[in-house]
Amino acid sequence: MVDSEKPSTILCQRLEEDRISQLPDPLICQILSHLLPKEAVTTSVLSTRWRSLWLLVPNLELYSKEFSDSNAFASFGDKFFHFDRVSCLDKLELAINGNEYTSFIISWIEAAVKRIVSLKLVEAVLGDVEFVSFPRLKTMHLICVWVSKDAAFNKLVSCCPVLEDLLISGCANAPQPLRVHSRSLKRLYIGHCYYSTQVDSVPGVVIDAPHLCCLSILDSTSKSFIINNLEYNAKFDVSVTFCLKVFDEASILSRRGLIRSFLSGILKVRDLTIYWQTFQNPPDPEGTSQTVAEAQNPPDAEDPNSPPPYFKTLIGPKKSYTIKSILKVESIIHGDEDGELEDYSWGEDETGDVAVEYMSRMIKEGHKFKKEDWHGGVENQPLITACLRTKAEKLTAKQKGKAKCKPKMKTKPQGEGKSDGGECSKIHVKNLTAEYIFREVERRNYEHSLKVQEMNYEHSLKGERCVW
Amino acid sequence: MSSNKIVLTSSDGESFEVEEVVARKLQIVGHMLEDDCVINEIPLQNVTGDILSMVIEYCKTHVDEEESEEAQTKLKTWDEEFMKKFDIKTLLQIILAANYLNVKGLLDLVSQTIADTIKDYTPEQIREVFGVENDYTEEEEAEVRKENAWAFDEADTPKP
Repeated sequence: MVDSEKPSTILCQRLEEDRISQLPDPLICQILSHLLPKEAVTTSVLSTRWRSLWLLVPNLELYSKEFSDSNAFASFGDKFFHFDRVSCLDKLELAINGNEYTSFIISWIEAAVKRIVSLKLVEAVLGDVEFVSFPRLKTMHLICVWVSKDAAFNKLVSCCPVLEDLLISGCANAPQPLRVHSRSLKRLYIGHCYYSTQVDSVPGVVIDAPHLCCLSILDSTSKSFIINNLEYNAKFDVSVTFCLKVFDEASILSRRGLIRSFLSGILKVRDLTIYWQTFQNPPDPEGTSQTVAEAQNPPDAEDPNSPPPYFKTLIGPKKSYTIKSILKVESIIHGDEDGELEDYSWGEDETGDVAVEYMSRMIKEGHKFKKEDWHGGVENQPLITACLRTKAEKLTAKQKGKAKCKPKMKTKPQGEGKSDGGECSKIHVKNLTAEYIFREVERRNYEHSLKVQEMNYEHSLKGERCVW
Repeated sequence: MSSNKIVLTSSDGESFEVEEVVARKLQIVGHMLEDDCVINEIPLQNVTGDILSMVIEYCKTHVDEEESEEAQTKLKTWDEEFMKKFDIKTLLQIILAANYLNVKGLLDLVSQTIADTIKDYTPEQIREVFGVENDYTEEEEAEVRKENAWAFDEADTPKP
């Protein structure tokens, strides 16, 4: 190969002066960090000035498969991560194919722990390793990492006192649950690979991270999820199947307790996105309605005094019957199947909402509301009926406020509100006095404004943007 | 917020009037403005007018860093074309200026560009192109090669 074939045209003239060697070390290292390790190493032969500069690069992406053999890989790593000198490294990305390197990489990572702020491990087998501490580590990505010791991931996370971003994907921690406990963590992404060989032995995910503002779970292998202490205003994307392969009535009911405890943990989230795989019901319409009816009055219902999870707005799949049967939801927005999202927050013009207007018209007309008018209605609250029409008319303004607190469908499917009308034999309906209506409206308004105040306060405390 | 103008003066006395938002892309300027917000003219001792004008051109283009994919692609294309204008000597001056003025995006862009150039050459060719003087003795050089023998196995033939 000859010079004329060189792709670069900007360098035709030779520099008379060795300007590149005159750059300060950090700038040369900045340049070298854009090279592959092998290319960086070859610069050591340029001149004595360059002999050790490659060892001082701030970022390193080390892929074992880019090395011709394991000796070359080990030779590079052992030099680079020499115990005396590794302190320049801020970001490390290690991708290791095969088990044979385990003993190397642990000593390498240990040499880097003191300074490193970003660590990405790909296909690494850590076995039962334990690290002491990563005092500055803020970002950790673990992709297809295998650990064998109990709660090894949690131990790894607890080694990182300032960790803010954690990604765990396709990792295996069999047979223990994946536990993530961290007081510093702000963003967490968990994605299990479908092809994981450990599918059947991954029993669940347990998260306890009070400062989390962004959580994303994509999981088809875990049966149970427990999320504690989730931050107000957190953003939560969920695509989970609770390890269900078939979404028939029996399967869903069998997971009811698990689904419920999962949802109880995420009561405070601000934005909840549920992708279409989650809670999807069978396509058969007859079977579906059966499931809904049964799920609303489940034979194994838990303590009726414990309020079910409540969400003001839920962005959910098209067939969200299961959700509606488990949650209290003020409005469900049926997202597209690919989970495309828009802003569904309450707008300025909410009084002009067709659903609200429909509601107030019904109230004026003295419609006798039934539980079935809203799927997922507040089951343990007594029904408010328009028993005293004259009183009710006087209350119209306040009733509007009440209507907001009621479940409603912003994008109301036709006929939805009446589909099950008239068949409320299982539900106890009682008539109420005007005083009760008054009190109830006041109480709900008060609760609502408390909640709004609380959210505003939390929001002003944490102005975090969630960016993945 | 501001159509406030700031005058930047280079080491050789050339002045550039730029909008404050553009000037703030030079973090060195940003910090000065935070310390004392009434500055209108800022002398920049370590950069010449011709290099400063290029840094300003970069900052003007990158003043609105939109997140949309389309805008990003457009900026990337602009970056590539921008870098093609310079010879290696100028690139080395720009990297020093970007470092001094603390323009992170430009620093990354120039170091990537220089690295891409180094990538294409064998050590001998790098020495020739960049004017690096080999001060190793023959024995020393052989020793360095031996130390990292794995990296030099095929390094003597240029990559395609």
